[in-house]
Amino acid sequence: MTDPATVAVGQPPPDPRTPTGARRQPAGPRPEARRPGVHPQLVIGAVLVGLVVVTALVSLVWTPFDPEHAGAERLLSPGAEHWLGTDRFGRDVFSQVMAGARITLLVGLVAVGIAAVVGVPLGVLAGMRGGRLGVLLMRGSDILLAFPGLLLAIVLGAVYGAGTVTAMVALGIGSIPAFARVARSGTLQVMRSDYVVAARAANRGERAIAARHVLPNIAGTVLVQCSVNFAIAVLAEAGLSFLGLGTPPPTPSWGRMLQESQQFLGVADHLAIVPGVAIAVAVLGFNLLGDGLRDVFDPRLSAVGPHAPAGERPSSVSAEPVGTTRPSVETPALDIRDLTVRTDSGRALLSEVSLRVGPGERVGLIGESGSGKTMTALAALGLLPDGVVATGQVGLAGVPGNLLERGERALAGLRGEALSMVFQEPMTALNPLLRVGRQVAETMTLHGATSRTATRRAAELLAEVGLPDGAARRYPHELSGGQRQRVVLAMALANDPAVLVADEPTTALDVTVQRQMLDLMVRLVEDRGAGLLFITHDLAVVSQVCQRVVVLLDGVVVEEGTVAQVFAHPRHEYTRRLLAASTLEPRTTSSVRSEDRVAEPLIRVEDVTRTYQSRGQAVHALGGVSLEVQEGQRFGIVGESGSGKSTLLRIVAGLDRATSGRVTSAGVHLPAAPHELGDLRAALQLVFQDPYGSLDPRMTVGDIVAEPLLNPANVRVGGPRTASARRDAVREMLDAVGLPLDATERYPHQFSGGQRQRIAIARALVCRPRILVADEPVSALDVSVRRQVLDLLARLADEHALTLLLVSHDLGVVRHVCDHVAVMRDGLIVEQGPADQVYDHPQHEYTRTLRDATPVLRR
Amino acid sequence: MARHLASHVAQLVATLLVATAAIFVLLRVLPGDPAVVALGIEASPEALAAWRAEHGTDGTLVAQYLEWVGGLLTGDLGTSYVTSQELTPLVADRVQVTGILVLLGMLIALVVAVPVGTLAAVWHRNAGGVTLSTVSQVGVAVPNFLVGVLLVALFAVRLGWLPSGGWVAPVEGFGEFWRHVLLPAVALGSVQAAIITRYVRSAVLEIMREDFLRTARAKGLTFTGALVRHGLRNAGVPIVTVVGVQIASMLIGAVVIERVFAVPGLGSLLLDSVGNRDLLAVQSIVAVLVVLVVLLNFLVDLAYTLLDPRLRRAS
Repeated sequence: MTDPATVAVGQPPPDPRTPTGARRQPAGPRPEARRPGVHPQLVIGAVLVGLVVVTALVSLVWTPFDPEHAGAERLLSPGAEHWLGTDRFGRDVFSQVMAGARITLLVGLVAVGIAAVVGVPLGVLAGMRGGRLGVLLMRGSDILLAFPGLLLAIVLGAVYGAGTVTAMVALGIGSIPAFARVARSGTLQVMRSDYVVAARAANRGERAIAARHVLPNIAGTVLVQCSVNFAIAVLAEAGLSFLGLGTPPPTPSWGRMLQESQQFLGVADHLAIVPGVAIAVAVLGFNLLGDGLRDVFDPRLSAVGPHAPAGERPSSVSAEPVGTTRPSVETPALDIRDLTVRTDSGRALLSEVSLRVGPGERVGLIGESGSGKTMTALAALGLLPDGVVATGQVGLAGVPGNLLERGERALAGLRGEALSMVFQEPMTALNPLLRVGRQVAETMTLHGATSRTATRRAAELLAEVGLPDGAARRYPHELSGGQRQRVVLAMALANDPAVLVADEPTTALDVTVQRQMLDLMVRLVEDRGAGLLFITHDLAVVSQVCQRVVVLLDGVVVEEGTVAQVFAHPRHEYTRRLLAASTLEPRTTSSVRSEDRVAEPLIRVEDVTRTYQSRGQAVHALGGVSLEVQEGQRFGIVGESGSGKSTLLRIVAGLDRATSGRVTSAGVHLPAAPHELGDLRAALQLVFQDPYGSLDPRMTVGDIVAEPLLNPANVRVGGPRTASARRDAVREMLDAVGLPLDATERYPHQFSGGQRQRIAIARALVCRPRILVADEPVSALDVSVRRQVLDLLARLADEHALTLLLVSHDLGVVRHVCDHVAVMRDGLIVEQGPADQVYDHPQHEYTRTLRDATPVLRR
Repeated sequence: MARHLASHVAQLVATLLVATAAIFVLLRVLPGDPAVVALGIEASPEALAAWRAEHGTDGTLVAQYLEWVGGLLTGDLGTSYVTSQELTPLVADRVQVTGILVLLGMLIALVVAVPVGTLAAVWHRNAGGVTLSTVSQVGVAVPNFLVGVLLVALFAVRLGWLPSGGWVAPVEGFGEFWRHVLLPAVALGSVQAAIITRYVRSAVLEIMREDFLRTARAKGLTFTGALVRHGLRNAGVPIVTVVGVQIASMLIGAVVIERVFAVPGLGSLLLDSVGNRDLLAVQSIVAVLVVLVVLLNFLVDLAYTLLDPRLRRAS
C-alpha cells in the first residue's frame, strides 16, 4: 500500500521557455509568511500518534493482564474484567493491543530511520552535485522503486527467515527511494535559489551551503516524509504479520491478531475489529501529522490573499479623493459604482470604488501592488477568488441590472461576449494541452457560433493579431510570450465585446514586444468601438494608451480625470509622488575621469562565447562579446529577455564558465583555480532581481547579512573577524542601507520587497567589495520604491568607491544610474559607449528601436 | 519523439538488467548452493553433481544468470527444484488471476475516486468537501486486509450472500466467477479508492488555481464548465501517473488479499514457494512481478508524453 505523498508522481519539467527574466508586477509579498494559528490535522494527528506512543510506553511497565499469558476463558466478549474480551487462547485482547503498539512503533522507527539515514544524504548529494553522479544515484534509487517494501520483505524472509529484523530492514530499504527523491527535489529547489548563488558568490564552500541553507530548508519536507512513511511502515508491518512473515509469536502484533481472528468471524468479531481499529488509528495519526506538517512547511498553502507591504508607502498620504470631475458620458459601456470587496474576515480590499468606461473610451486604472486594481477587474467579471465578497453595482451597457447580483451561469453568458479580459501572465493563461486555434474558437462556440464558423473565424482572428499562418495548430508552449498574449487578445476580442479589461497585459513582455502589443490592442479596440479598461502600474504606458485615468491607492480611488489633466496637474499628493518616481532623469555626472582610462580595466571581457545544451540542441547564449569596465565606472548592460545579459553577468562573476574567449575580473583570470576564485569572490558581490527568492527564508536578517563575513578570505585586513565585530559591521551596513537596527533579529518575510532589496544590498557590501554586480535589481519593485533603491545604489557606489555593473531591460533605469552602457541582443553587444551618447545618438538600428519602444511619460 | 522513445527504452532495458541481477544475487547466490539446500549438507559429491547437472546449476554464476534471463525472455521460467513442476504455465495461470483482481479493483477505485475527489476539491471550503476529505483520509488508514476480513464477516458469514473465498475462472462459469471475485476486488479497490481520491483532490485543487482556468471562465464558461472542459484533462496527467504506480503497488499488495480470500493468484504462489523454500520459483515469480512493475512505470512515462504536448519533442 502506498500513500499519496510518497509515490513519485512524475512532474512535468518546467517549461524551458518560461523567460527567467520575465518581469511582473509584484502581487504583494509572496506567501512565505506563515499563517499563525493551529492546523486541526496537526493537532488530531499529534494526539493519535501520542496515544499510540503512550500506550506502547505504558505497556512496558503495566498491562491489565500478561499479554502472552493464556489464563482466562477463551473467546470472551468485551466485558468488565476483560475490557476488550479474550482470544482463542484466553489471552486478554486489551493487553495484547497495548503490547502490539510496541512492535508497530519499533518497526516503524527503525524502517523510517534506515530510509532517512540512507535516503536523505543520497538525495542531497544527487541534488547538489548533479552531473553523472546525481543521475547515477537517482537511477539506482529508481531501480529500488521496482522492489516495494512488502515484496522485499517476502524475498528477504525467504532467504534469511522472516522476523522483526527482516521486516524492519526490508521496509527501510524499500522506503529509501521516497526519501532520496524528496531530499533531491528539495535540494534542487534550494540550489536554484538566488540565496545559494549569493552564498557561492560570497565564497562559501559546498559544506557550508549544505549545512546552512540546504538542510534547514529541506528539513520540513523530510519530516513530513518521515511521518507519512511511518504510516506506510505500520501498514506494511501489519500486512507482513498478517501473512505470518512478521514478528513471530508469542510477541503480540496487531497484524497477526487480525489474521488469527479470521477463523472466528461471526463468533468473535471483536477479535478482528480491535486490532483493525488500532492499526487504522496509528496510520491515520501519522498521515494526519504528515499532512499537518506539510501545511506548516508548505508556504504556498498558507497564502491568504493580497496583503499590502507595510512601511514603504508614504503613510502621510491621505486617501481622500480629489478631482471627481467625471465626464458626462450619457450611457457608459461599463459603470462601476461603490464597489467594495471584502475578505471573509471583513478586511476591505476595495472601498467604494466607482469608475466608468464610455463606449470606445480608453481608461487607465493605475496603482501599485496591493492597491486593488486586479480585484476591481475580477469583481466586474465575477471572477473573484474564493473567500472575498463584492458589494456595490456593476452595470454594462445593454445589460439590465447589476452584474454583481447575477448568478455564475448568467455571468458566464456575458463573459467573453459583452465583457472580456486579457490577463497579465501570458505563459500560464492558456490551456497547455489544447491547440490555440481551438481555444480561440471555443470563445465563439460558447456564445452560439457553429464549430465550423468558429474555426474559420479563429484563423482570421489569429491572423488579425499578427500571428503567422498555421498558428492555430500550435500548442501554447510552441509560442513566445508575446505571441501567446496575442492569442489571448484574439480570444478576448472574438465576439466584439463592448468592454475589454486588460490587466497588466504587457508587463511580462519585452519592451519592443510591449510596444507592438499596445499598438495592436489600441487599434483593434478602436476598430470595434469597444471600451478599454487598462490596468497597469506603468504611468508611461497609460499616458500613451489611455484618454482618462483613475488612480487607486489601498483600495480607494484617490484621483481621476483626463490623462492630460492628471499628469500635468496632479492634485492628489500620492499621484504627484507616483509621477515624480516614474520619471527617471538621466545621470549627469560621470564618475570616471579621462585620465583613469589609461589604467588597466577592472573587468575585461574578450570575445567571449557561451554555448549550452538544451534538450539536445545547442543554444548560443553569447556569441562573441567584448567589453571593458574601468575602476569606479558605472557600467550598464541593456537588453531584452534572451539577449544573454544575465549569462554575461554570471561569467564575469565567476559563477559560469565561458565556452571560449578570455575574461579577467578584478585581476583574476577566469576560469580560475579555487584559491584565485576566492580573491574574485572577495572583490565582487551580487544583488539579484527577485528580492523574495534571494534571501534564505529560514535565516534572520542579521545572519543573512553576516554570512559573507564568515569566510575569513572575504574579510579585508583590519575587517571584522570576531563575532562582535561582525555584529557591528552588520549594524553599520543596515544603517547605511536605511534599515532599522532591530532588523537583525527579524526574518525576511517580515519585510517588504524594497526593504528586502536593501537587505540584499547590505549583504553584498558588508565585506567591502570593489565591484557590485546588480541583475535587474529594481524590476520586481513598485515604481515608488524603484527610485529609492536606485538612488541608494548610486549613493553607496559613490561612498564605497564601487565599480557598478548593472543589468536591466529598462534603458531608463540604466541611464539614471550608469555613465556607460552596452546594448545587447541575441548574445551580442550591438552598441556601447557613454550613456548619453548611446541614448541620444544611437548608432545601431536596434538601439533606436529599443529607445523608441520604451514608454515615456508624456505630461 | 523517436529519440525520446529510444532513450526511454534504453533506460528500461538497463533497469531490467540491474533488477534481475539483484534478484539473482539475492535469491540464487546469497543463499548458497541450491544443490546443498535441496539435498542437505550430508549429500555425497556425486549426488550433488548429478542434481546440479539435472537442474542446470553446474555452470558459472554468470552463465547461470544469462541462462535464467534468457529463459525469462523466451518465456521459460524453468522447473521447480522442489515440486519438479514446469513453472511457466503455473505462473502464467496465476498472473491472470492476480491481473483480473487488480484491474477490477482499480476500476472500482477509479469509478469512486474520480467523482469523489473532484467534488472534494470543488467543495474544499465547505462541510461537504471536508467530510469527503476526512472519509478518504480515514480510508487510506484502513489496511485492505481488514476490509477483506470485515467483508467476509458480513457478506459471507452473516448474510451468506457470497462465498468467503476461493476462485472460479471466467471460462468455468461467468456467474460463479463474479460471485467469487466481487469481495476481493472490492476489498482491494476500496482502499485504493481512498488513496486515489486524495490524489484526484489535490490534482484538481492545483488545477483550480491555474490561470488558464480563469481564462476559460473569462471566455464565457461557468466555473463547472471550465473545470470539466479544461481542468480535468490537465488534472488527468498526474492522475494517470498515480494510477500506473498504484497498479504496480496493487500487484504486490494483492498478496495479502489473496491470502484472506484464498485466491490462487501470483501472491499465493509466491508465499507457498517461500514456505516450501522453493527458491527458483521465488526467484522467477519475483522477477515476473518486478518486470511487470517496471513495464508499468515505462508505460506511465509514455502515457505522460502522449497526454502532455509540452513533453513531445517539438519538430
